[in-house]
Amino acid sequence: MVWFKVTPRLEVSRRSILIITVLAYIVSPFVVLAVLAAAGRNPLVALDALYRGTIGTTAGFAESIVQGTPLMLLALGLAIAYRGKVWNIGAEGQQIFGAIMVTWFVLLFLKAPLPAYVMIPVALLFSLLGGALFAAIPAFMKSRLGINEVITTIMMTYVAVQALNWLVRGPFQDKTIPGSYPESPVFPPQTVLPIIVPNTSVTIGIIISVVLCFIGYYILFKTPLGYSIRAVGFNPSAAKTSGISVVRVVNSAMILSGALAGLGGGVYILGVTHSLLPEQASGIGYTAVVVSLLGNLHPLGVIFSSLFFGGLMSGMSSVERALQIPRTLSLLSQGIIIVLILIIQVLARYEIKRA
Amino acid sequence: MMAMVLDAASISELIAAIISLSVPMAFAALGEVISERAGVINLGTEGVMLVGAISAFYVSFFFGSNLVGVLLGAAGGALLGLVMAFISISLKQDQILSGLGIYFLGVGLSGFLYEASFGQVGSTIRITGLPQLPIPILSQIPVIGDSIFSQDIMEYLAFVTLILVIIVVGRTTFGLNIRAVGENPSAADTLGVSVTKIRYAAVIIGATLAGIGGAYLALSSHAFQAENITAGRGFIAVAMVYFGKWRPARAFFGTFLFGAAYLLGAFFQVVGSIIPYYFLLMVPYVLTLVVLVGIARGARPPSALGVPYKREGG
Amino acid sequence: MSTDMPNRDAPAIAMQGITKRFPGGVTANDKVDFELRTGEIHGLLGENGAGKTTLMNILYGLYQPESGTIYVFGQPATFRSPADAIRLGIGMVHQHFKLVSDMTVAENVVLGLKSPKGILTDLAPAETRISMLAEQHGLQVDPRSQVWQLAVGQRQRVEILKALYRDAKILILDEPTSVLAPSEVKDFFNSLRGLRGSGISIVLITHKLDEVMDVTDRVTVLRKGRKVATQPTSSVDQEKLAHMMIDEAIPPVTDKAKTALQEVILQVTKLRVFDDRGIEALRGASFEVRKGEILGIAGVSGNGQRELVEALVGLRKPSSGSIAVVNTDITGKTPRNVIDLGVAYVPENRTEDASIADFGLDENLILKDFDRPPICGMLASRVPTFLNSKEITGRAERAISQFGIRATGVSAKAGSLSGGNLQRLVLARELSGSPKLIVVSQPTRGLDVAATEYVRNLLIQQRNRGAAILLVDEDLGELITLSDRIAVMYKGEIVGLLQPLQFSSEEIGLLMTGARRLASAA
Repeated sequence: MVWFKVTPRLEVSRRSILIITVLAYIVSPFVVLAVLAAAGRNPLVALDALYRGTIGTTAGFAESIVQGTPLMLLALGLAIAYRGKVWNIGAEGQQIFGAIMVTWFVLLFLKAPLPAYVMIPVALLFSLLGGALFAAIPAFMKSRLGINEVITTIMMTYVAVQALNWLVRGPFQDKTIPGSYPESPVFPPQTVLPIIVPNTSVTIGIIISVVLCFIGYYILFKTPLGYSIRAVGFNPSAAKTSGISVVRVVNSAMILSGALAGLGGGVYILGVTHSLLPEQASGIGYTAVVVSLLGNLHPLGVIFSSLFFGGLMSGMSSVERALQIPRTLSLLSQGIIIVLILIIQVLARYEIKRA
Repeated sequence: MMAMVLDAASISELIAAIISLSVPMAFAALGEVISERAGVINLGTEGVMLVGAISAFYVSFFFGSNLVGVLLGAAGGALLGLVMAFISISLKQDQILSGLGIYFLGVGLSGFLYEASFGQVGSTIRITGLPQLPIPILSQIPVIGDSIFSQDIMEYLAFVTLILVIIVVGRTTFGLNIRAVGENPSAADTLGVSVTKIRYAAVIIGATLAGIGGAYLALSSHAFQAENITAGRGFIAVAMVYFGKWRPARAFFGTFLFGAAYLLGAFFQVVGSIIPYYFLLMVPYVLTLVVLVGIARGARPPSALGVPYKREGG
Repeated sequence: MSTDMPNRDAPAIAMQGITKRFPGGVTANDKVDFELRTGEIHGLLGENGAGKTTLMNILYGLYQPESGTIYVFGQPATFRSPADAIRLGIGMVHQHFKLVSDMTVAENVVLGLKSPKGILTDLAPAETRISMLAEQHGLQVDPRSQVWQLAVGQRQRVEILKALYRDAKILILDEPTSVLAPSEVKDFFNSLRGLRGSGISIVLITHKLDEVMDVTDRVTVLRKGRKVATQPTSSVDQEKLAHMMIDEAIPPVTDKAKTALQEVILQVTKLRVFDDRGIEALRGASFEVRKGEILGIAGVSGNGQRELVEALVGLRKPSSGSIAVVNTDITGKTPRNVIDLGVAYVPENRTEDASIADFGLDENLILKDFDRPPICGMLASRVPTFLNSKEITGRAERAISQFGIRATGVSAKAGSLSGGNLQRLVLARELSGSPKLIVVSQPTRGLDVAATEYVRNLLIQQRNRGAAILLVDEDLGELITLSDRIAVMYKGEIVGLLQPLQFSSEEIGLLMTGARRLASAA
């Protein structure tokens, strides 16, 4: 049996990682085209559809952005938490809870909504707080009791999903429409996020997200908080010896990522669905984990990886329609791209030799 | 109202249902005990169970063979276990991160295979054409057998596996090596025990058992939910290992507690209660959190758990 | 694979031209020759870091040498792992025991061996054989007991039995007496003589001269990775050996500070601290350190020094007693509180506890004060805002020039620095800001000659500046050189507090092994 030896590469510059990542992004769609060709489909038609679905048409471009926006917020939070080795897997639950808090607030003012410039910021604030609160429980369980946060955040997500199920069929249900639909009343126009590109559904959500990514970058690399998060992530022992409160850092990282996830849920509900639906549990919290890794856990990298992913989803939809391929092939292609990029990132850092 | 329900036959049914619901977790928990005693925590157990489930479901649906389904589930588990072992042992990556990778891999793979085979999209689907359940075995088991002794073969197998795991960990050379490698890998290394090989074996066995658990889950499910059939059971199984303080029997029976918790929702829906149905569905997860908090102070894991082994020097 | 009979006239072990280098540039063994004759007890002598353990780890298959050959009973041998060494009859007892505390003695002994019952373990025959071997060689221990219940001396017996059980003909013992009480040492040496009588060849790694004289037949002296000499023990004495071990004259003992009237900076009173296993590691220690003096803490590692240091810097809560820095009580306070009072800490494990390998030099230097001015901007003097890169870079540049750190730039990752440079980095950080108290542990471990010199001078400078320094050091020579007073620790207590005139390796050695207690101890 042949054994392989895997060792970290000694000289890896940040620039080379960046270049390799960008190349991976560019190359991978072509790999998909090859897969499609192998499956007997016309790659040129696919390429055209891919192009149109991502940046070629306004509709496609818009769809990419709309898909990518909430991802960006969630992935940003995760990138920060993961830098501190706080493995928050519960972004899904946190974004659901953020949406729940938004719904609660909006429903309070359903009959007499305040003007948009009040409703929207407050609603988003609620989503932020909701996500933060929801993440606080696993945060304290980890920082004070040393309980593994992966398990706790996942458990919390299941709780959130059931809470969502209950609320849309119970207290938050729209009782004014005939029949019993699991959905909340439609939100008043004062809560709709303003659209910034006419004739599309691109809202200020994207601006908020990108701005927050830049803020996230500053926080992570230019403030004491970010410094302490990175220090604890790299070497908790040295950090503790030097006076850093690991408890405080873990709490901050977890709660911050929860807040951003909550905000992502809020942006989604105010920008896309305009009411609380079971579809709020879209699985975006799990996708965000992958997106944050694709972005190298860097706030600015997350901008690109989330837009890339949004484009991927939009583009593949377009390809699906153009080539009449089953959804499974489309999902497989997405999976291939992700795995490819991740493998390339790993290969950039490690070398594999025969032992 | 409660009195109506608690007669002998219903209790019997209740116990049977609890066992049935717990067995998948029990398999996974036993597997995780082995893996963690050797020092490797596998958070991907949930993903492995999913792969086991889809494999068994697929084979059973298209070929009608439950045995092959279970075997395929086991094989799928072993394969994922191999990947996990490679990443966390050979590449010495953070075990939490590798386990997560396996989780996502399992979710993606099982979802993809499901959609590819059955072409449906969405979250909660009931399909017709469920695979057949194994026939309950009434062998030379004595009288009271209606619940505990009239189970299908996998449930007996679970108990047999428990005994096997106890014997292996406590009374075999392999078990000795596993314990040594999880407590003091350096000691084992200097005596010529290959830490790498033992850990690989433990992780793969652990994942194989999780795969079997997942396979059984698919085969025994009364309500089939395509993409979320495990519903966190893999993670609960890992939590059970903590709960059971890394002892096979305790972890095993701990899962029964959670099987009961899953049952509460269905039970109270039949009986009728003030508590909303969905709240009851939350019980297993909240219970896990409570249990983890309760155990937190007293737990003493295998000393080398979670730490990739590096031989000093060169 | 040779099928020749082992040559009985050949030495048990012959190592020729062994060279071993470690990443970081340290040459642990430099063309070393070593020979072990059959049926002898051979002492391998040298200071800390001379290369003794490395050489034997190579023999045991734990390390691979860059060059050199090894012969076992005349046959050439290569060791890829300890399994190879064990197969050839070599057994090693390490300084830090390799025992699984949860398992029984018998389980530990049979680990890695084939069971008589195949897959199932069968401990009964093993237990019998262990008892027999124990009886035979005077190494009594109950094979059924769990290791965590055993005292240190008993655990050592288990380690030896592990080797004997495998029919070891060659035993390597690494600093075996470091964990024994003096009475136990006598019994231990008698067992060694017994083993020798049974035809077993023994290598005794040690840095203690009296032991060499007591029990060895021949002795090989290593110094800084090179072999100095091999002599029959009968032809040398302690003086000659000491001379061979340390060629440069012992660094001139520095002027000792007379600080009896200076203010007390650190006051430790009846301090009790538990270790991770719940055993009381520090049992009521009391001492003080004054301004402008270096108090050395001598002791075999594992006698409570680590717990003492951790309690002082806030990493471990004492169970009773008190610690005060300049009259401010810091018992049980956090590292942050301690640092804010002007306490600097140079830990013994610099890569794990004192630096972050993935951070650059500049980022490492701000580890203690990154959230306050001048490194961090402040809003209304209360809210930290942004890190000031100019200040950070400036500090790094000053540190590099002032402390002579050799690195590719201010953002060079700390993980890329050699041991000596890393220590300079740590000192640059800790010593800036003129700390009142400096707690330093094993400051020159793993450092080359130049770096060692530099660090020692630096510590003296700090003392002269008026800092109070607590120096924990396994290097006795260094301790004697640098300290103004020495407290000796044994089993969690201070068993002696020595003034400069009382400094002698012999005296301290006796105290360290519990042979003596001085009335002046607290």
